[in-house]
Amino acid sequence: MKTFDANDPNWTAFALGELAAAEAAEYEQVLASDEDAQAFVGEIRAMAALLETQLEAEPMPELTAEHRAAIESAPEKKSAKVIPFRWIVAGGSAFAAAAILMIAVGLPLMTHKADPAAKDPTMSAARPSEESQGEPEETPDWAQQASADEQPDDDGIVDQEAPAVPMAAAIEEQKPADANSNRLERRDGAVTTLLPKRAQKGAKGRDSSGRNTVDLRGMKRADGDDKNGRFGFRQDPWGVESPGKQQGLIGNAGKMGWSGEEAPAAGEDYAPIEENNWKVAQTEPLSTFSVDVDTASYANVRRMLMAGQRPPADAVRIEELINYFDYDYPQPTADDPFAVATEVAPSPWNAGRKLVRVGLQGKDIDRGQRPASNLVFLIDVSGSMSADSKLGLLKRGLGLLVENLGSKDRVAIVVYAGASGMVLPSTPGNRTGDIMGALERLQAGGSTNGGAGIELAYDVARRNFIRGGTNRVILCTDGDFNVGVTNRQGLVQLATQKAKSGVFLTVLGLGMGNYKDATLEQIANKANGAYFYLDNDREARKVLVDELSGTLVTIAKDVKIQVEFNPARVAQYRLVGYENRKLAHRDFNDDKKDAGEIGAGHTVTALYEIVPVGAVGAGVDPLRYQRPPNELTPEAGGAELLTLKLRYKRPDGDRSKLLVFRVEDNDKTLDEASDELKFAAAVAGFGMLLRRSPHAGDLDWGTVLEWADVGRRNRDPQLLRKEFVQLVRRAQALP
Amino acid sequence: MAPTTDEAQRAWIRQNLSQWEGPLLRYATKIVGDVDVARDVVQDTFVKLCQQERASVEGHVAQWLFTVCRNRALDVRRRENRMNTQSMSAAQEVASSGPAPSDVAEARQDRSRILGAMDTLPENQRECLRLKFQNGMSYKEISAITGLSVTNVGYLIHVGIKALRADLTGGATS
Repeated sequence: MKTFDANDPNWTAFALGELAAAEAAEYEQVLASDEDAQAFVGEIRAMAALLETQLEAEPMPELTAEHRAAIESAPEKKSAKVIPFRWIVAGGSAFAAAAILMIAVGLPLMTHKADPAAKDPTMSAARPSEESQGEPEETPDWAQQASADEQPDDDGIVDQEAPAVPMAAAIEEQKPADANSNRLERRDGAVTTLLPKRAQKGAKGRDSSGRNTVDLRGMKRADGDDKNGRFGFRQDPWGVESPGKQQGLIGNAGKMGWSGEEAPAAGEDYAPIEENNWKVAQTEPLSTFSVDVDTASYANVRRMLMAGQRPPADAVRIEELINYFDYDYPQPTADDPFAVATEVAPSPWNAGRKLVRVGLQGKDIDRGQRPASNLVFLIDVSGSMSADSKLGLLKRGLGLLVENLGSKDRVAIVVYAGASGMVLPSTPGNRTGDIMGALERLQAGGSTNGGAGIELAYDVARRNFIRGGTNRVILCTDGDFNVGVTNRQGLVQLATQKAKSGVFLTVLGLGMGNYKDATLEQIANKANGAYFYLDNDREARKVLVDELSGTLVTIAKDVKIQVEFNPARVAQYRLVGYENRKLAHRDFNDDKKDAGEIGAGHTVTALYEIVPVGAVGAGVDPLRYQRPPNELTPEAGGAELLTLKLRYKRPDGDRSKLLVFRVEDNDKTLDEASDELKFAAAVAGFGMLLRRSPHAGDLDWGTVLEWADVGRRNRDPQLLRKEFVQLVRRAQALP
Repeated sequence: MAPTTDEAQRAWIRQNLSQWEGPLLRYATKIVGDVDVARDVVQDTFVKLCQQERASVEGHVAQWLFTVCRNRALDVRRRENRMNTQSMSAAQEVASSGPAPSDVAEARQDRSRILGAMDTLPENQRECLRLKFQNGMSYKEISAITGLSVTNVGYLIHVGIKALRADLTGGATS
């Protein structure tokens, strides 16, 4: 049985994602129950993030023109084996018709490994010893060494690109013949395709723009450091309890001027959120917003809490926290793609006020019934993606997804860095070996030209469009676009325009330190997209396997909610979260206005906090010179609190359908409130406390924990709620 | 209409140059202590790359470049008997464009906390930390580049991080 030992270098290796999967699993087990180990791993990761950011900010020198000219005119290997030009003939399918030029230009992002496990023989000659005066870089003999290193070292530390992908490994073991033949086929067909236009522009443009960008980026980062002047270190609860241990950095960081407030990283970018305020039902009876099934904020907040950092308030989007969880709502029975359930109960944080919960349950689709999918993975392979927590995690996650695809599905892989290119043309989903091979060979390096990548990916998606099926670009990035179309507005416009093609978007956010949450969220919002953040392998499994149907299959789009409050019953109201999802009231009935999508099986939950008429109001005094000017309708005299209206379109439709529900208050007590409502309220409360919301009233962590625990005991198929309870404890322990 | 294989090879070199020039220069400067000398080292490295069969380095170009660059830099350092001074200034002076000098000074001060602590570490720890956290290399790649065993790389990084943490704490309390 392994135990935690802070002096064991393997614990550092584990924290840095350097252990082989099998061994890492043992460490994970210890980690689950050992708080010292958790603190240690959190600190190592925080330190790694700090080092990455600080070292990345170091200036990057450039070569002089003379140096560059010398390289240009250097004699080159004449016998260079360059892959000849040919036309794509992908399995003799309709693809041949797609006249794409295959060019053997070795864009850095497309470097294909002949064998991922191969070892560079120059290394054996490359010792820093006297012999290296000679010619260390003899032409290596690949064939002999290629298999030398297929096995992980005895110490279990493996190359992060070697088959640390458990799924990929498993698949290849199960059908070795198949996998081998795929691989061979890939090897000689190892081709990269480029749109001809880009190929011609070629390296020149990148030369100059790439370098400039690198410089600017370094400077920008340094700037950011200045402004915030602090890093994500804070007093760790475990550090405090065991001060004798080597945890001083965190414990004392504050004294060094690294204040622990909104720290995660100077390079991370979050759009400001101004929390919804109280509205008076008499003067503003309508509340209109778009649904949102994104969950990115929860995973991102979890990442920071696990690293012992308080997330900045703007990283906490309460609706995304609430919607991270599934709730036990009734399944739709009628023709509509979703069912609606509402509930009213007392507010846990403000005596006398109430919570109104609106719950949407999307129709689930049987795995076997899932329509054919045409997927384009659009993968950022720029230098900033190289960490195992980014590209490594992504490869494993997409590997899991690919495992669940079948022959009717198609996958293409487009990468982008300094330039964009296709590393895998659209390929049937059952050719797992090809797809996995292409994934495994991805390597990070270079700057990020997101705009060009988006263009190419949508182009590929359109050319392989499946009518009546799922057509989706899956954008995988840390969002740090720095070449080409780089400003957020430009990218968002591009995505908005692309969304009109009927291709949906999934954004998978990755990484830390330079994470551009604001850009990614906005792109997803505007481009018929859903936005997830992958902070670890479990989250990748949740998004890409457990909830695959929901991630891939859109069952309703442009889903809008409008609530009309009855001023005879409701004095004031406040929508919890959804700040950046608000819509103009008139846009509710305007089918040209875009709104959120719901995937198969997704649940969407929104909470209103209301002040019933007669209860103590929130901050707004009664008017001295006016009485309620509006004449009340007879309906206002009834028991109805509010009318809930929803509009949605079918995924391929242009006209919306309207659903209307009346909601009454049947005066439930706190005890009578459903466990599901309590859990949703606990999650909302967690977000409000993290944000230090002025609306949190007398809410405390104890109440959040209590209600979270009730919800957990009620329903927790994936143990996500259990983890939530642990996160609340971590947040509670923040200084 | 189609470029020749020579042109393709050239384009490939240019790609790698634009991608790795900066990181290699930064890395080599740390070894030879002088950005001008580092430029020659990096130039030599890419000239070597021109002479490589592309297929032989495809898929691990970065590892290959760092290995060759490192050997070349160590050779030069030995030959010129140049002491490795690890001065940040050499690298910083070459930043051609950027924020106002005062900003740079502030940024430098901010960075120097941890980078200053790093300068006090033994060279092999420093190098492993840089390869890992500045260039995103895995333990295995670092092992290949430096000729150290993977276990040794793991140990150096472990000890390096530990020392940095201890150093920063000590600096704060004294």
